Amino acid sequence: MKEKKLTKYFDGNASEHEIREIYDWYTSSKENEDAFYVAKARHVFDGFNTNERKPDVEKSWEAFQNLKIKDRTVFYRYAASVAFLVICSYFIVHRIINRVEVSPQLAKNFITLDTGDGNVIPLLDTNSAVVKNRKGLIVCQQQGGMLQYKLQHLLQTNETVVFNRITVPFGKTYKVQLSDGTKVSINSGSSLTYPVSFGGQNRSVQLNGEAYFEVRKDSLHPFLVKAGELHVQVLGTKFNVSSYPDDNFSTAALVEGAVAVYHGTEEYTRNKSTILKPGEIASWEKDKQKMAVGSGDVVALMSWSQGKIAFKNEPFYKILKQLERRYDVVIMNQNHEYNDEKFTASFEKENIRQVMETFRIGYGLHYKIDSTQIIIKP
Amino acid sequence: MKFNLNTFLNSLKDNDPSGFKFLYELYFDKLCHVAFSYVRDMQDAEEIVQNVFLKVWERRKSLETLTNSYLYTVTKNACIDFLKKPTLTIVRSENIYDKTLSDPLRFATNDAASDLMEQELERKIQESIAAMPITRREVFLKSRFLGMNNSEIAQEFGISKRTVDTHISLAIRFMRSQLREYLT
Repeated sequence: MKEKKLTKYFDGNASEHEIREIYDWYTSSKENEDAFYVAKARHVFDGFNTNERKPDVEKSWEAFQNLKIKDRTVFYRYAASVAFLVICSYFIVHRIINRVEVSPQLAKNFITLDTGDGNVIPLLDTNSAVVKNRKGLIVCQQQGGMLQYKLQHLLQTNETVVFNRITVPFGKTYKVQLSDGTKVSINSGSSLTYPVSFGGQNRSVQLNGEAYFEVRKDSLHPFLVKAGELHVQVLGTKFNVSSYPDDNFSTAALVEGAVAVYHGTEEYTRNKSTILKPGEIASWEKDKQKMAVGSGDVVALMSWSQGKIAFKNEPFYKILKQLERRYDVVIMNQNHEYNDEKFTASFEKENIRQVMETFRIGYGLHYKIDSTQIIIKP
Repeated sequence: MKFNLNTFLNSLKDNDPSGFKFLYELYFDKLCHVAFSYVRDMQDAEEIVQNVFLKVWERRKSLETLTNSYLYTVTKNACIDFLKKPTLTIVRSENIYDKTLSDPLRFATNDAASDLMEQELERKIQESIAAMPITRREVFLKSRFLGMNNSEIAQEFGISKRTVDTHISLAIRFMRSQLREYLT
């Protein structure tokens, strides 16, 4: 194999045909394989003086001094670990404070079920929780990765209604089947409050954060989602509601069927509400106190409920917010040029590092991951 | 006179901070270049090399030998460990032939290539040293690597101790500017 051809390949200028040719030669013998890597090693050193990304030795040496100092004496080592603890707890406290505004129950790193009688049960992947009522009857149990309530007819109005709440921390999602058969996927950093069995005229639940609903049809008892100021009333349908306190908007996106959305301070009337058609997204803008309706990619919007994460033409700052919730990370964007730029991407099983790598390789984004946060560099 | 790291180990054992700094300045960018060729990310490469130096510093008292080969091997192995971590998959190309050819782990674990990398690294180091003016280089090497003190050197070269001091500080400055040439 000619050195020239290999150099062309190492420089990234080889055509597909040439790559194939090198590959055939490379796989034909161990000698060739060695020769290939030796040529590569030579190429690495030929590029030594022209390598554009040079490390800053002076700066690295200073950083090294700081690393090394921990080693000097036992005292310093302890001092360093105390400092580390302090920093950590600072971040934890800082984060809890931040998150508390999002939802009061999110301090713990577990998905929890608040049974309304003072008990909070963690819902772990490994166990299958069973909740019984005072009469010893099973109310709900964990089955196949979701919490299933016993299917029940609607209560008579004179019975007391017990409310349960599922709280999902950042980095996780959870599914529940309510007593009317409605399935709800609850997204990261969200909580859903609902009665153990529905009573009265409406089937009403409260959402803080984001959830995807597949509502069991029951035209006599409309299903009502109260998501902050945005209320969504439905008969039987599939839709996504997002209402995070730290977003300046709440949205409802309809996949199937029909829903009516309206401002939460008012009672539902047909005149004051907006009827959504499938594929439409209603957005309540908190600043402007205004409802806007547009069409969008609702499938991408609710992809999280299937464990995916997808963006279609979404501005970067919104994407970061979603990544923070999904992966339970803090992302500091120091590169404001990207903020409003729109991206289309979808991820399935990637970890946050792979997601960031995709942005780096695809869009030249510079970032740094440390133990507490991701910094996007200008 | 050929530069030999091993004699340099003594000054490390004596906790000579300028000795370690010299080693660092001589090797840091070159090892980064080597690590970069394996992990293909300069940030990761710098972190890996930083840890290599930390290891050397921590083990300085118990090290039997300190050689170019040792520094290269520790760096290479750290890169291989890094590449084996499942969290990182950089797909550079959709072309399956290219994927195989550019597989960093295959490159890092190829012995023939490693031998050459090690030799080339050594050559670069010798080049940096050789680029110094002769007397200065000799004075510097005798001081740093043969562990001679300044008056001994002054006697051997027939120059004043003050001149030896100057030679050494100029040599250090020179090393730095040499490195800066690579940096800019």
